[in-house]
Amino acid sequence: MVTEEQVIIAINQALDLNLDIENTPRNEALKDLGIDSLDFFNILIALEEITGRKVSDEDSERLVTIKDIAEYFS
Amino acid sequence: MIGIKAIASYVPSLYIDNLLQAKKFGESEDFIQKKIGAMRLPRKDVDQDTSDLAVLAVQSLFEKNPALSKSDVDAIVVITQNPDAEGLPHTAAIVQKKLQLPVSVAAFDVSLGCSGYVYGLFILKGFLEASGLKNGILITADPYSKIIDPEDKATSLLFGDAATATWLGEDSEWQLGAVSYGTDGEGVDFLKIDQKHLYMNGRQVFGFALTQVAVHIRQLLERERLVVEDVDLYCLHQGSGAIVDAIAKGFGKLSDRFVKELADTGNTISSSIPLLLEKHAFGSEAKRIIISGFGVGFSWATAIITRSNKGKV
Repeated sequence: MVTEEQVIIAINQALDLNLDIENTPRNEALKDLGIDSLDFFNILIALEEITGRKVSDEDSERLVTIKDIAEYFS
Repeated sequence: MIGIKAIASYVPSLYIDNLLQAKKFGESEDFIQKKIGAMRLPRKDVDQDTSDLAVLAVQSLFEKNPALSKSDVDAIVVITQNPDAEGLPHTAAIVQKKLQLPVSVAAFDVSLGCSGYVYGLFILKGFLEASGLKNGILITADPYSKIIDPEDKATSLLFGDAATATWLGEDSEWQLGAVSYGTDGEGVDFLKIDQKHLYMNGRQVFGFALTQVAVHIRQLLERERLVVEDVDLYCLHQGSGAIVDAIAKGFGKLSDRFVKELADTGNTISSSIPLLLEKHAFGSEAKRIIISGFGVGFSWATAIITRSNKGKV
C-alpha cells in the first residue's frame, strides 16, 4: 500500500525537492509539476526499491499523475 | 610491470549544437544543461571512418610521446562496436595499415561498448605480459553517429564521436590494480541496433546504471579493504550528466570527487573514461582513481588504478 502522500515524499527524496505534501495536486501531470522524463525514471526506481515491485515499460507509460502512481503501487 | 604510460585523444572539431537540437525535440535548455550535460556533440566528417578517428588519436599519442616510436609498438587493440565496413576485416588491421606500423604488430578488435575501456586495459596488459611484449596501444573509437537516427530524441541528444589512444608499457606512471566485471544479458534488448539504427530504452539503461554501478564500486572497495575516502577521484563513464550526478549523490559528501565532464563531448562510449584520465590522471595530484564503465549488454567493469611514482614519459 502506497499513499499519495508517500509518493510525494518519495519524489522529494529522489529529486531533492520540497513539494508541499498537503497542497501538491494529485491529479496534475507530473510533467506540469516540473518533473521531466529523467526525474520520472528516478522516482520509479525509488518506488521500486521501496515496494519491491518492478514497473514494466508498458505500465510506466500509464503513470502520469501522483494519483496514478499511488494507485498502481497499491 | 605493464601499466598506463600516456593517453591521447582525437575529438572532431565539427559538432552539433545540442541546444538547437533540444528546441527541435521540444526540450528546454535547462534539461540539456542539467540532465543531459552535453552542450555540443562532436561529429566525425562524413568521409571519416572509425579507423580514421583511431589513427588520429594514435598520431596524437606519438606526437606527445617522442619516446614511443612506431617500431616500438608490439600490439594494438581497438575497442569498437562500429567498426569500418561491417567489421570484416577488423579495424585494428586497417589502423595498422594506415599508420604503417610494423607487420610484427599483433592487432585485434574487441566488441564492447561503454565498459570497453576498463576491459581493454586488462585484456591488453594480460596479452602483453603473457606474450612477453613491451608496448601496446589501446584504442577506443566507437562513433555512434554512424547509427543514430537524427529523429530519435533518446539517442540524438546524448552521443558524441571521439577516439582515444592509451599507451601501455613498463615503467608507467599509473598501475592497474584490482578489477571487477559484470554482465547481465537481460539488458541486451535495451541498447542495441534495431533496423540499422541505435535503439535505447532510456528508463532501463538509467535504472541499470543507478542500481548497479554504485553497488559495484562499493563491493570492489570492500573487497580491497578500502573505503570510499581512500579514492581521490572517481572517473566514471559519462553516460549522461544525470547518471553521473545520480551515482555521485549516493556517495554524499564525496560526490565532488566524481568527475563530470561531458559538456563538449557528450557520451563518447568507450572513449569517455580515457578522455577523463588524459586530463585528470596525468594533470592532477591524484594517487588512486576508480574507473568504471557500464552500458551495452548490460556490461560493466570497475577498476582501481594507482600512481606508481615511476617514469613520467
